[in-house]
Amino acid sequence: MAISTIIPTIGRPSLSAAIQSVVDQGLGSDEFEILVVNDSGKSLPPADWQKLGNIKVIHTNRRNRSVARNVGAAASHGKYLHFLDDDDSMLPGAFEALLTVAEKSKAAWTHGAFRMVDNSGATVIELSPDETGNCSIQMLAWEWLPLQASFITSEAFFAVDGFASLPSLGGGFEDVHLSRQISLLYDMAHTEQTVTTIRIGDVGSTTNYITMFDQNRHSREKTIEAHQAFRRLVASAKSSPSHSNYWCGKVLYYYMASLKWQLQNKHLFTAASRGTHMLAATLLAGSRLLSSDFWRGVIHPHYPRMGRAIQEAGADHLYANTRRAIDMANSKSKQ
Amino acid sequence: MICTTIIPTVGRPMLTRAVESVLAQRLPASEFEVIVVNDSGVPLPEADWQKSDRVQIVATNRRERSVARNLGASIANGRYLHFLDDDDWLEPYAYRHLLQLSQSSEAKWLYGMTQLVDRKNKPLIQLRHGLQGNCFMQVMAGEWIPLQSSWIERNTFMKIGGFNALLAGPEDIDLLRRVLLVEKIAETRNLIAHVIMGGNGSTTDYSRHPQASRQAREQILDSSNVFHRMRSSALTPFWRGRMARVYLTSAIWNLQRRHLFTAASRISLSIASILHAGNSILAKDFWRAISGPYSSIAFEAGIGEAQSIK
Repeated sequence: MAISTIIPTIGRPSLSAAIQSVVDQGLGSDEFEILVVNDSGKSLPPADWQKLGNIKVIHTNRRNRSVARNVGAAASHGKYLHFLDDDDSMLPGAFEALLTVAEKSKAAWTHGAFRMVDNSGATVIELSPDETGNCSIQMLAWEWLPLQASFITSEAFFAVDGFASLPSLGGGFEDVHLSRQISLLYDMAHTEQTVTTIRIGDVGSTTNYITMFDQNRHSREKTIEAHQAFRRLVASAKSSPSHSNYWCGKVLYYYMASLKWQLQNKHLFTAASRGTHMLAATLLAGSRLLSSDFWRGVIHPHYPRMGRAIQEAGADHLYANTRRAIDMANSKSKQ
Repeated sequence: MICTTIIPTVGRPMLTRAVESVLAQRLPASEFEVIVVNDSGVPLPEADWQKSDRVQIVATNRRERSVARNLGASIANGRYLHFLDDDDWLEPYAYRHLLQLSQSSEAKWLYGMTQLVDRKNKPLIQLRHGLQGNCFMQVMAGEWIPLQSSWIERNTFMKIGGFNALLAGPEDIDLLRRVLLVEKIAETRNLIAHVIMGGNGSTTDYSRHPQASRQAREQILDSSNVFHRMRSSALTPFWRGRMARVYLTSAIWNLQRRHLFTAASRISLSIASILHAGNSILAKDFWRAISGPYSSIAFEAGIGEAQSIK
């Protein structure tokens, strides 16, 4: 079996459309399967797709999304895992495009271009990420590859023990964390074909945007402390085709951020280790130290393309809830 | 519902005995359920127990044992989780005893005695662990409680992220350590489970065991609050010595792998353990604990008892 699509659902009516968009990919019934993980705590309303042979429903009982997705993965048979949400859908030809690239490149994570739509279905932005090869530094910098637009090999998924279901990461960050863990061990590939539409915004979503920044911090520390992380991050920065100076600066930036965090938490030996890596990152940069791009990477925080695109499209209002929550959290911490 | 029993199986014929020993528990039917996780990749042969409405079968596709167990836990409804293997079985009153214990204890890991048997079901030794309350130090040193004789509170299990599937072999002791890092344990002095000993046909990967075991312990030592938790469970000179030894052996391991900063951190914590030990360092037990490897007290007691019967 080539592909297992895993759809966790909280019982949204759009589930049928999501499933139909996968069935319509035109693959033979022995080439793909769909695992619906019903996390709503109630039984699903009867629907036509329930009669299809290669669709299986598993019931979890109101757990978080990571748990539901891990359940689907554990029960899957496919060489590639594809995680879809119950309010998103795949575009025609998507599976063929992703599968072709995945098979040719032997990459562990293959992703395509995607379109983000608002609640009325109108397109807000369209993005075509081009991460290829070792992309660990880009993942660490919070570049986002939607699961909906990705095929992940089952081998790589289980090599990192799936989605981390820790509370410190369990509120929407689990996909970025997974991409960080996998990119430390495996390479990526991409197709320019638009493969999926994703609903944008923080209204009616199960993602916890409020704790996103803390989650990012935890995930980053966990990634940096992994064995061989430094070597892999440096190699990824150096292999960037057009911005290697910038990314080499970013390696230094993240070790610096970690150093600060470890000092605040009084982990002195870990802080010392981060300090040594900062030194190593500086030495390894060599003549890049003379480039302004390098220092831009060292000094300024990274703005992921997703945030830039939303701003450029004037779609900030779609994240009004998040903005309000962050403002509230900030004003509380000042008092 | 009080308890969910999770039985991962690779299709061994003893599965029927395991499931039936759960269904025979003296508890109201609404209070427990059985989830059989069939990891064999082929359908299970038909059996009477499959007709029971208390049994649910889910199929995984030849994953690690931990993946199968985590899946079972994710779909469970019971307040406690009980992980049984397909070749082990329960005493008829096992759940009654654990239920009683749960009513009088706030511990999140409840357990009783284990009867170890050989592959011909001949009794070998009985394990009585005697661990109560905060026993983090004891499990860090190497005390271990079989999952088969334990109830683990489901919320606690989910909160710490379940079994670490990257550890093939010591994932059970790793879970015990991570639970006891934050929670307490309680014991009932009744026999709970019969557990088969021996490597033949087992799904445990013994060749990777020592390496995985060390890595698991290192990960726990990296967590926060470990020093404090160990200190508050190391109350005798012997255990204070073991605490220093845990950090010393870790320091050596990290030095060998050139993790210099981690090694330095471990050395400073082993010095801190010795300083915190106070008068204990005058006791012979302290130095005995620091200088020698650990052998399980429960195992030794069980072996001694078995020999005295013979």
